Amino acid sequence: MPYFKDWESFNRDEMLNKYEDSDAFIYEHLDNLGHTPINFVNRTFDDNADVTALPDAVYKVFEANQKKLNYEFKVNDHHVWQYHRNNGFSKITIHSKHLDAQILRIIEGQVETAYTINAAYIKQNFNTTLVVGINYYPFEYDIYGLLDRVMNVATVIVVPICLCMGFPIFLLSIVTEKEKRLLEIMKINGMKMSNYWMVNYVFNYLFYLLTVAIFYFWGSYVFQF
Amino acid sequence: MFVVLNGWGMAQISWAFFASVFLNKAQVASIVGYGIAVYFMAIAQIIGNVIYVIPFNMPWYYHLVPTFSFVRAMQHLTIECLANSCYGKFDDLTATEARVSIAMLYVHTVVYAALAWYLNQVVPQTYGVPKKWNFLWDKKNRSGNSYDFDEIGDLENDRENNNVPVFDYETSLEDADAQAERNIVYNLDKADYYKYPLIIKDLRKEFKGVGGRKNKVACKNFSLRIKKGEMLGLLGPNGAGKTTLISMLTGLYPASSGNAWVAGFDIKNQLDVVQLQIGLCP
Repeated sequence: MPYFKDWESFNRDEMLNKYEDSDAFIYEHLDNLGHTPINFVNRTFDDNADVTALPDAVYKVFEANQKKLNYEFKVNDHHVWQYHRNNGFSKITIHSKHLDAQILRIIEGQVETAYTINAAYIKQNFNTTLVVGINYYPFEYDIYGLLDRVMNVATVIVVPICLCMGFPIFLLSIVTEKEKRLLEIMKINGMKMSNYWMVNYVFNYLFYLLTVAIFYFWGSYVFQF
Repeated sequence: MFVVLNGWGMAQISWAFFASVFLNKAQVASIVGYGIAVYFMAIAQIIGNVIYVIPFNMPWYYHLVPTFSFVRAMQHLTIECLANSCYGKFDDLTATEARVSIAMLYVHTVVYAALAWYLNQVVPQTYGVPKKWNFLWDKKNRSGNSYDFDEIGDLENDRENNNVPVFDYETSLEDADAQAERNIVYNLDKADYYKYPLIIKDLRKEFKGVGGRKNKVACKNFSLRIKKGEMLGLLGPNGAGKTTLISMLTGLYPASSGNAWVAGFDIKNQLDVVQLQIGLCP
């Protein structure tokens, strides 16, 4: 897309002055924006500098008088949020206790766009103030339930992986004692093998129990919302 | 939940005991340990979460590895937690496979512990004297805290009956006092063996030759008797076989031939009793 290029040279060299201005070009090509893959290489979305050149919405007015208002509009409805400015109507920044994010509200943006020009037209001609709002169906959004599910799915993968890491340690401790001749020296000095295995078992089990206890503590008391 | 985690911990430890039988190097053990843990866990996750997703049952043979049983049990618990309500007791488990998985963790614990106990005594290690594979049934070799008089004197009988040559070198080269000591040991009555703190008879150690070389004889043919209250210092140049002798007496290496009796218990069949009688500072 040529939005990010120098518009004048682009229109002159590549488009042969086909468009009167950049808005005309953008209006014609805004549909394509939704299907254009973003090149993430060599781009920093943090400052979003080039995206600020994008229009949030464009109007094309065909007829406007006291009897008739005929116009078309398009809103930037790209599904990737980096292709939007922080404009407050199609992309909203939220700072809250649970969420610190920027969310896309394309439909609200489209309604807002139409509402702005309609309200101005009605105010001008009929001196009437028009108020439009969107209300969604009142489905409760159970964020805690969702988090619970996410935690459960994560648990079934993460917890077994974490808890299997004790095995090499158990193995290593036994083999080290064997390799360094410690076991034979203990045997020579009168240790019963049954005691050795028993103590090893209990020690390793306590070691494992400590891991489980830490997991349990964090799950029960720390990761509580 | 605790039943599962407890079972997994116990199964893991038994499994580690079992695996330690076959490993003699710590470095190898850590690599193999992490390999077993990570690879089995990855396979178990893929099998449980991708191939045999929960309404379907995992084939029975996957339960032969503890990791698979554990991951399966965790998956059952989690899915029940998501779908209905979490399990509180073992009786609440509705899925048969969940019960099987948890039970298998405890079966693994017992089976691997038993295998580890048996193999640890039978499989030859770098150090130590392995027992015979049938030591559980072979009553003759069963070690106990009693004097085994039948065993004593077998060497003489064997030599007389089968005409086995005693020495692979000229006895005449021995010093007179060494010959006298040998004679004393040979003429001891086997019933008197328990009276002596240490009797060594014809003890010999050959280390296997590596790379086609000849076997290395570390200790040719050693006979010695120590009386009660006697103090003995063993002197000799480097490579004389002093350490080898002590290692054989303490059970670090098995003797190639011959036998020794510590307080009347012989080092071939009653080693664990012998080790209760001695103190060693290496």
